[in-house]
Amino acid sequence: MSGHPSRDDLAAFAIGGLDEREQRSVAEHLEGCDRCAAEMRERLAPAVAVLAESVEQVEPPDSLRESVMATVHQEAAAESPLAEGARSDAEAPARRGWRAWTPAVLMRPAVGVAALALVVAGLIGYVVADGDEATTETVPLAESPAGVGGNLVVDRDSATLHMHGMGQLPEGDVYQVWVADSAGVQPSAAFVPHEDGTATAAVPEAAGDVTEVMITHERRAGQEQPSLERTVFGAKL
Amino acid sequence: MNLSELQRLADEDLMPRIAAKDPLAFEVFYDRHGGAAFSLAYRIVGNRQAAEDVTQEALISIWRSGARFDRARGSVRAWTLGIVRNRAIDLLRRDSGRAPKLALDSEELLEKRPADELTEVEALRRETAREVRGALSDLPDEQSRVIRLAFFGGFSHSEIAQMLNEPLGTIKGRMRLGMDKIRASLAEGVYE
Repeated sequence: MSGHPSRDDLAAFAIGGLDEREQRSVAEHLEGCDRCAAEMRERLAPAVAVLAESVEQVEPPDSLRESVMATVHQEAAAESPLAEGARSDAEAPARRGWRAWTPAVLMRPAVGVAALALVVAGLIGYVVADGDEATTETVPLAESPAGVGGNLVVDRDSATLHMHGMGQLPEGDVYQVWVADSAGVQPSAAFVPHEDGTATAAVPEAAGDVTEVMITHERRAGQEQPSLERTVFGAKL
Repeated sequence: MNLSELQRLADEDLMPRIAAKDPLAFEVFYDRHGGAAFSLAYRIVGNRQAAEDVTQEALISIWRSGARFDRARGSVRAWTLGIVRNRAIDLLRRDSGRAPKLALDSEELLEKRPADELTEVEALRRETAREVRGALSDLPDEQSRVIRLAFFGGFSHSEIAQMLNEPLGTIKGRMRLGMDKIRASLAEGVYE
């Protein structure tokens, strides 16, 4: 476009009223013209926003929210390297046990030693001494990209999971802890987080020979299989 | 960050968390803008099922591309409704028999949430929307008409010119005059 678009053209552009070619041309002009961009941002865009708000408000169906959020949760889980491992293994049912949950980052040497070292460093436990005798081991669990993390505190014959960053749940839903050992996968505690996103759950199974801990969002407690598409956290021990 | 902390964030501060794929942040985003998005889609496409499809497509595209929001270009609300509007118009054009819903809103078809469930912000928005509808109907008919045809109907100025049998320049001039009046009402604080 040579020169600036006219005020008529800018107004028509703002409401999508130009022909396709002109619409593109003005859009390109705005990319490089501060003056016209300011006119658009400060004068026209607010008027267009008001126009968009001017329609009678209609209540959307509940199914819309459910369907949008199902996709969002599924894709968020897929973005997480931990859940990526869970998902890819869920697609290969012959594999069982902890390998089924191992983060992809740990399963693919090609990802690199540095990444592996980072994850492992986050998982190395430290020992809290009680007098001369070490009685409690605290295993930090590396925080997920969504900010979910915590510690697993293991005594001789018990273990407690302390989590933070857990999102609030719809009424009736629970977070379900799953543990894996060489024999396979089993459900452990189910819990609902506090308002501040923290939660504490007794997971006695983790005091044994457990190799992984995972948390899924379930519609109700008592599930026998994890809903892998709603994985919110996972860590190798 | 938990739900109540996210709910206290401004839209612009919510967007980076959505770009970082935080589903809880998107839930807050949906609760703020899902209703307005659906309402706009419904106004344009004219039936609930198509409006649901359009809104879903638009919101998922925002979830997938939240990083593209640029606060220098306007508010999250305006950006969101712009995306919804474009998707809805695309659908009209795709389906072309393009029979955009250009009649006035069919009030009897609209389902309204009970007033006692409205948040203060939402109630304010609806009040604003009512005032804007008033302002649109306060515009001279010929200005209001071309704005509605373009914005809600997805017609270009040349299509409108042909439809109304008026010169192109006249149509564009009416669009600008109408937008100027809405803008002037904004500046006078009619909607704020």
